[in-house]
Amino acid sequence: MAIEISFGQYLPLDSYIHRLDPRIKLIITLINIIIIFIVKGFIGYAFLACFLIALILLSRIPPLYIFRGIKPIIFFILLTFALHLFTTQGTELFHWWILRGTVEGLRNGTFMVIRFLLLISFSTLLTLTCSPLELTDALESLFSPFKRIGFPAHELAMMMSIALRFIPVLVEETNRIMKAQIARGADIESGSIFNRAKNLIPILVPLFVNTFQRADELALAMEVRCYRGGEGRTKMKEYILSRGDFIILTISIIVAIISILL
Amino acid sequence: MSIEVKDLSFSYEGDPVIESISLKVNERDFIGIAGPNGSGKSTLAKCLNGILLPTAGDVIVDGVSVTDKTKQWIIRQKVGLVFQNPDNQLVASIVEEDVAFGPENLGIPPAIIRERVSYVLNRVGLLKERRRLVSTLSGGQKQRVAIAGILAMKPKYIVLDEPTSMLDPLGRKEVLSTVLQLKEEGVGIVYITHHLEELVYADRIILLYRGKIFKEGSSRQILTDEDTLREIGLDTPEIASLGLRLKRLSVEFNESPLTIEEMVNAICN
Amino acid sequence: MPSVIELKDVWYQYNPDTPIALWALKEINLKISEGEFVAIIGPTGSGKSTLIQHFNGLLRPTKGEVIVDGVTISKNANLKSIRQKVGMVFQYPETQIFSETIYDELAFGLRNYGYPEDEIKEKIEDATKKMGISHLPLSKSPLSLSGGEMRRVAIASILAMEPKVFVLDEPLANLDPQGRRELLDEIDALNRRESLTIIIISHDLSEIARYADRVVVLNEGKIIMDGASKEIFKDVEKLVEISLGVPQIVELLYTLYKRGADIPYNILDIEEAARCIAKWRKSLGNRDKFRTVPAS
Repeated sequence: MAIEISFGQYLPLDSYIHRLDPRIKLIITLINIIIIFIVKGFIGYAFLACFLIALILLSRIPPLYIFRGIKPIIFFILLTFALHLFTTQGTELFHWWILRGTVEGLRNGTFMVIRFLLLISFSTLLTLTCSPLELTDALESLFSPFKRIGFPAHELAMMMSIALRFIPVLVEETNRIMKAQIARGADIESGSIFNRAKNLIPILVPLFVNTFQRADELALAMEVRCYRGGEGRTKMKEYILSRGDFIILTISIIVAIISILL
Repeated sequence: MSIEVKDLSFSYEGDPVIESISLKVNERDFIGIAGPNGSGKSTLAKCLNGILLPTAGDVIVDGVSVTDKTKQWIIRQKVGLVFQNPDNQLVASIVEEDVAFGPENLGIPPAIIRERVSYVLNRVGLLKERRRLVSTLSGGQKQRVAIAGILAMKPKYIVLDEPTSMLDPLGRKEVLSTVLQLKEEGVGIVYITHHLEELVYADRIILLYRGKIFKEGSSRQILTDEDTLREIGLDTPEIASLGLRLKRLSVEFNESPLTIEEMVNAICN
Repeated sequence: MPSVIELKDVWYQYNPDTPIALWALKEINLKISEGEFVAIIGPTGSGKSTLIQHFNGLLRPTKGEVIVDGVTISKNANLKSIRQKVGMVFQYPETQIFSETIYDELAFGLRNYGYPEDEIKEKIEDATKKMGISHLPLSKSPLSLSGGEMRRVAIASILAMEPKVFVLDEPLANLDPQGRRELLDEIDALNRRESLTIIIISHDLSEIARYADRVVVLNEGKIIMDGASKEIFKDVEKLVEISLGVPQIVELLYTLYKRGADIPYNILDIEEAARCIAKWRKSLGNRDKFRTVPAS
């Protein structure tokens, strides 16, 4: 019953996409996510999907990794499809028991599925081609204009970066604690929901306690390395926008406009 | 230039943890501090760079007291501290990004940070791993990244608090040899442990027991002082112990051997 | 002696049918008899943790058979009953503590197995005595204890379940020399006095070899050595090659042996080693009876 998490996983490769400025990658992803909900026709989606495939190819990421991003949510996607199929009013397409599938339902359901798949694929591509630091740097950079009104851009970015860094550590720890408690006769797989929830306590409590201890030690280590917040801090990684970045941004905007029009 | 600990005491919630500790660490020194669990070693480590402030007495780093709030960060840059748990010291996901963390905090220009990161990663033997995810490293490698991260801040002194306690034999070997190389950087080293075999190359060893200095001397003096070590619950390193027993069986040496090579040479000559 | 854990030609693969499939155990044949004190030693990544998780059904072999106390572990096997027979203490067991009181923590395992409260009380008293913690006030929070005490509580909580086999993964990790000695003495006493079968996993051979009857060496998923401690140390080079913590005494004696000294090198006791070296030195008198190797 071990846990595996693919989300937030960075795959360090050397590709055109990897080398792009992370701010541009973030902006493009955001543009595409917004467009996904504006596009109205199949052809528009098809065009957008082609753009996505082109990006995946350019990134040299094996398609398998994109699928792994989709896998955990596949049930939810199918459920959404079924819901739309059977609850949308309109001309009846077919009839099964008390369920009534409509043409409009089929159309809406299919659209939702396409939207989810595109959404997850773009997001997964982003995290696969940007290191956690690049992502948080990009976020910090985009939010820094708001620092003037008190928005803690740096602190949030630092928190996110540390959280991403510790995901594999915490996953391993959770597995370890689970095994230890199962070895003592704990049963987290059978029984009523109430029972199973109760049996999560021997896993969650140690996890929390250990995580607080970790946080304490990490804060100390950061202090020792002279961390005192964002003031006066420099960054080893300098992000300079290049021609390639502007080109792809322009292409992205053109694709977006065309997709809406189609 | 040195760290001077003057009659240092630290209490936590009224209970004394360390009492009246006095010692001096010069540049290029390799000082070992050993003691059983609960002797106050970690607390002493944190007092050396002002992370913990003295309840009584003082710690003076290159002429500046750790109690001087205006010089707090200068002292932390001068006295680096490496902890026991490799994972809980690493802030970034990627090796070179973590090593850059310290210099970034010091506001060092990016180009110089890049130089330093390359230099220190090379010093600890991890230059090829610079773009690797920290979570894929072994314990020994993680500790070396932590050491590199401190080294990148160009400290004068480095305090290592039981850096090998959580490592396997290979990791321990890697970290020890890295620490010995630090001497070549001109850094003053304070190495805290309860594994006395690791202090074989120390210039001086200070034994800590129940918060006080129990005894101090050269590494050779301390490591062959079986009775004292037993009294405070530490083990005499095997080679030193062997040397003592050989002496009792009338096998003579000029100097008590501490390492395998020294012992082999002593026996065969 | 009847075998209490038996592995027949066991192979285990992580992530089968994926591009990252990895054979962690290969061709494992292992028989552990009742009452033995076995040390399973291997470098990091050798498959030690994977191996012991087969002892109590946490993992099931990809190929081969695992038999615990006469029962073959299969899909329908009663894993819960096996886990009571094979008590397992993972590394840094103090990090699995979650209960509000020491008593509840000690009783956790027993309660999972449905023992009545009065029996639980007895078993807890027994276990705390064996682990030297019967002086601790049981209504206190376990998180207020020292690291060493917490570890003892964690171990006692498994001991209270009265297992037939006691498996401990790196039980000495991060303890100081005195702590290590005391814990090893207690575990040894459990083996001698209660005939509890003990299996200790470690990457450090030094101290444990002095207590264990038998040492099994694992490397890259395979058992490469299996025998009495003294026998294992005859192959020092192999042990050093795979980065196991070999006692310095053994390394020293081996170095002397390679230089031509006529002494055995699989000695673990320092006193005995000293006597051997002294005897050999005296037998030479003033003659140089060994190859002079230039100082490196």
